[in-house]
Amino acid sequence: MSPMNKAEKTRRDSRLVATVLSGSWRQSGESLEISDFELAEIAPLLIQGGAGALVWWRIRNSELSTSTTAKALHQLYRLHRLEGSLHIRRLKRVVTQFRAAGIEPVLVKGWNVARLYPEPGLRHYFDVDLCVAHECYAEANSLVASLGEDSSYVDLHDELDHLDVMSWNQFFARTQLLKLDDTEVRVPCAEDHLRILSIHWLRHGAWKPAGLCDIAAAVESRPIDFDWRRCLGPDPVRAGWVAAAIRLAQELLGAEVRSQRSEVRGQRAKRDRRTAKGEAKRGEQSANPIPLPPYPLPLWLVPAVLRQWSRSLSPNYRQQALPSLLGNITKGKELIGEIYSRLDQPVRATIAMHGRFNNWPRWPYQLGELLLHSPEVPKQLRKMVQKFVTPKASNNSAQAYTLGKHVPQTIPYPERV
Amino acid sequence: MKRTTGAHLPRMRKQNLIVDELPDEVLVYDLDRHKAHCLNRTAAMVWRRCDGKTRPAEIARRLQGELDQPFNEEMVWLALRQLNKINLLTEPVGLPAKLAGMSRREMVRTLGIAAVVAVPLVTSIVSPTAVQASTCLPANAPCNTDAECCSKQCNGSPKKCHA
Repeated sequence: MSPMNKAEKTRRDSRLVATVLSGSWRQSGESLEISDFELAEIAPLLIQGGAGALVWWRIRNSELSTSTTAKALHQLYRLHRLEGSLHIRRLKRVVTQFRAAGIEPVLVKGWNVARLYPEPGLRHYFDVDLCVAHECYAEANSLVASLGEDSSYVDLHDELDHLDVMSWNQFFARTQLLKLDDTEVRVPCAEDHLRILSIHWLRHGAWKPAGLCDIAAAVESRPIDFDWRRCLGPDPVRAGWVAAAIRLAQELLGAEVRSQRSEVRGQRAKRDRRTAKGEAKRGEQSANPIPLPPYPLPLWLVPAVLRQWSRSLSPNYRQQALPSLLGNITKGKELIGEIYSRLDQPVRATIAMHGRFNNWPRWPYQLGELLLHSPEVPKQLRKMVQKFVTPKASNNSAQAYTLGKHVPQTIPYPERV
Repeated sequence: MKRTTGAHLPRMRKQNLIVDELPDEVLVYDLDRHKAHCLNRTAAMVWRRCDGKTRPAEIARRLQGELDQPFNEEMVWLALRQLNKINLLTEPVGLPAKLAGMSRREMVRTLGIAAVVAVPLVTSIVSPTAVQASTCLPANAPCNTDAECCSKQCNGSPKKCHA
């Protein structure tokens, strides 16, 4: 296959990923024009991108549902449903323990995103991301350490940490309590949550198509009185990031930004608002919410996101740069591939350097991000030496790094009965 | 029907399980063994009727009425055998002498064509890998023939699918 053909295939595959995921978060999606063979070809990208179950949802009533690929995606859906149930049990336990200790946590992502989808199991999630006030953080940390098995699933944040820059008091005042069976879980208001989701997705390089589905689902399930001004926030640079993520959801996945797509979900969001107990008074909110301001996407952005989707590998999950590059030093093609995939992160680099999404070249940001990572070189060299001296211990640490952190395997996927 | 071992009537296990009922199947997660299972509708119906008081023959009679199609005692035993294996019954239930030692496939064959429609089936849920989900192998996957690769090009040493 010639290089041009490979590039064409890459473009076609990532476009296909966008096509099959278009509207996949809705109760009833439009019919899908894709062959069994095409679905099989992009299945690895969908599974690695966290969107396998969503695609099964989309094709479940079509002729494709009997294909081998669809059966595999159906298995994923089943697993995600059970994992979702486990996650909810865990979340309820953890929140109850926090409250018993007098700490009020705010849940971001996880269940608060999964509930936007029409069925449990469509969105896969592991961690329980909890934010707590700075003065409670040390106590909360000790509490998490004492949670036993649940502790490895809790991702505790000191206030909003890297998730957002707004003040904790302002953020907390806008939060709301949602009913989860017999427990109440505090979550951010719809505007803050959409902003957090958008920036979080971009910060990770926009590599995961399922993350853009989350943004699309959050956009379409926003309440009637959703305030775009509040969502975008006061910082024009960050507002540009959020607007870019939303426009990408519109452009690539067909998210409807102008109107409330789903009446049912709109009603659900309205109900959430009504049940909110801790939400601040929304005095500044206008009766006729301001629409999302026009935001033209820079020309490089859509191709850059599609390139990430065609790789479908988290930039954070890659092996450390030095060992990986030196390991491939004699393999020219692999070495070039490694270097290119590490440098070709314009979205992540722009966010890391607090840059604007405009049509100026991205290489200064990419270079800047590279320099930002330069302090890691001695650490990586040290690890390489350790690996040389004690191969076994070093292998374990390499594994931990590859996963980014300890990712507990909820279901250790057994053999067929 | 005479049982080989055990005198217990089947009773469904309820402790430490997460059960998710879908329209056509039931998903079960065993919190003790950390294993996930999928029961098809028939297997789930048998499981639900295992109350420790009802004999398999009676379960079969009731299910035949509910399903409005042939459902005999052997089919109940087929379900019990699978439920036993994945520990979804409180105590093991001995199979009848006639069915003991048979494989699941042999049991289905014994039950005949009529059973195929409503054969109770329990499967473990296994996470598909990216490669398993694809009917063809992606670039750089180990291969033996061109036909296995999406690119239809399997070459090199060791053999790998080319992009």
